[in-house]
Amino acid sequence: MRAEDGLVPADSARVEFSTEFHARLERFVARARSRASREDGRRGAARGQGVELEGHRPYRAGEDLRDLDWELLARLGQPWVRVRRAEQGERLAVVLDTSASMGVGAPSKLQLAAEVALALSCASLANGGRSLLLAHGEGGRVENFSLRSANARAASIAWMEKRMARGAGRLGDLLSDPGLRRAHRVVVLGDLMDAEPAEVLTLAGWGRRVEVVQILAERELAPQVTGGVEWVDPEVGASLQLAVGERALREYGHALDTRLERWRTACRGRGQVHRLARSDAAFEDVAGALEP
Amino acid sequence: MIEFDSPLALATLVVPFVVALALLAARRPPLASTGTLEVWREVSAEAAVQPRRRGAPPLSAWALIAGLCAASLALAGPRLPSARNAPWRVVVDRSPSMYERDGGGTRLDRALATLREQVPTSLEYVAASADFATAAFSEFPEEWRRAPAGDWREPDWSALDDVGVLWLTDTASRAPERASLIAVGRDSASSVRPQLRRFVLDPVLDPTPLGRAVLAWAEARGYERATDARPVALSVLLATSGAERPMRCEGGAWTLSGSARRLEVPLDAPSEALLSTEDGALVLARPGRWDVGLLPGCRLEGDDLAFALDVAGKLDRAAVGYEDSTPLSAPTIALGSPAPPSRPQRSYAALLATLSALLAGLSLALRERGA
Repeated sequence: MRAEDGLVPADSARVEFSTEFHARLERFVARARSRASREDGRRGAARGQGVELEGHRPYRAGEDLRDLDWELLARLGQPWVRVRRAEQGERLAVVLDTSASMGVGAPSKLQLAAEVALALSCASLANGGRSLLLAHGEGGRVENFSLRSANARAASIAWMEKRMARGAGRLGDLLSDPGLRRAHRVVVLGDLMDAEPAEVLTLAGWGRRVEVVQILAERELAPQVTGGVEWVDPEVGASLQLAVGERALREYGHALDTRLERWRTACRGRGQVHRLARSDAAFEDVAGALEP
Repeated sequence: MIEFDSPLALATLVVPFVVALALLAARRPPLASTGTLEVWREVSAEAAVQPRRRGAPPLSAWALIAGLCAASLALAGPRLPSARNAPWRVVVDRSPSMYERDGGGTRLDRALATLREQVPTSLEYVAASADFATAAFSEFPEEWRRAPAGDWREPDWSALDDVGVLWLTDTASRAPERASLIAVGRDSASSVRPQLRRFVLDPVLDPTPLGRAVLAWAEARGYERATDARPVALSVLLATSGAERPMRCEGGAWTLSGSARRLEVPLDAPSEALLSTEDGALVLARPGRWDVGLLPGCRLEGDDLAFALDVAGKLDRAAVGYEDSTPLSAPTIALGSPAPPSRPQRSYAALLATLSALLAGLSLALRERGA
């Protein structure tokens, strides 16, 4: 469809979370919590309980009984759970690219990015961490949401549902947010086709880990077109009419690989994580590959 | 200017228009949004792929569209306008009587108004006199509405009696045989109809001075007294209603006295008082009929012959053609055939239909060849 203003609307500009997604999110968070507990247990057995232990707090119904400090229970008659370093201090920041090009794909790249962002932040919250979500909002200004408690989960979902793929917001504006400087872990979600690796990797270091998730739509990763096509950039409306053949597809694939390889190489060189995801991938796979 | 037998068929021109739009839309490549436009630009710049030219529809499509246009035009039936609407040639009588003002405006004005009402097609105007005619004008020259200088007489109608010619006059000395006629004037129709030389006289009036004068006039003019119901030129009838009153009417050498009925002037036809007193008409003439108020028993004193001649003069002027003649204010219209077409009527529908078929075939052939 051709928009009246000459721009081609992206496939889906909105973020929508279905009932099924909520159920999947709950399962994902539960698995993340369970895995964290097991890993903590293994680390505790290997290194001794005292290494990771930062303190105690009262037990909340439903918590993993393996975290229960049985000694304190016997001594005080009150259930207390151990508080580990990660629970106490992990500060996760998720940078979400919401430029118009993120609306490309079915489901859109933004949809997957939003699902991954929620999954990571909810998993972090379940493990005692806190999250800062960053994205462009109305008028291109930077908006954030701080997820510090389980009570704020619903609000974080609502905040995420207000994200729309529109405009041409600069990633640099998000990356310069001071909230990122306090984060231990920064996850950047976007197609990043108009960003430079160095721009993102400046965040790395000083105990801060950067994980880059480059999300591309199927038609961007492996276009299935032949013949005439008019490619349109939904961010600026620029277009290019091409007669696409097999050779053109090969050349395109090569050029795209070159760009992606630059990101991979740059991140690897700085000891950071780079992932490539297709927009129709399951968020569990993408977020699971990042989850520490 | 081209005219069409079925102008509504031109609406079918929307079909090729829609087809053209559809073809143009079909030629436009599908749109696809992408976040990797820069990558495609890079590929395009390396000449791995040629930027696609937004081509016009192929020749076969143009041929098809042209064929559809030709078919639509053929349906509408185009033709040259002269093939059907040959103008009437209006011959205008500019003799002095045409400028008489006896019915609101001149007779020419009224005749022109009648002409435009009756013949709303294209016309050309010629003014004619007895021995000359002007050039033709496509518009009526407004200066003709004013009486001309010089000696203008009634045209020689016999030389102008042809199909497609229309006489515009107030009276014509002869009835047209092939030409058409619009005549507006006092005597408009009198001379163009066969004269009915028959009359009716109320027998009651026979012994009266008026009756005797009518009988003398009829005998002198060769009028036959009607004894049957066939049309007559004049009926002289005694009024049967109206209050009786004494009267006395004086002519130059005669005096008529006695009693008479009061006559009512008819509203639906022109009438004229032939004999009258200060108290009203004694004889009222209208087309084809005299109403007589003079009652039997009235006496004529003085010169009998003078009275008879006076009556005969009035009969001469008024009786001729009163039978079924038109009222003074009404025109006489006798429209014949318009002028024959100047050239045979020619339709281009067949030509366009053939062209349409040829273009359709060309379109198919080009399509087969991939053009």
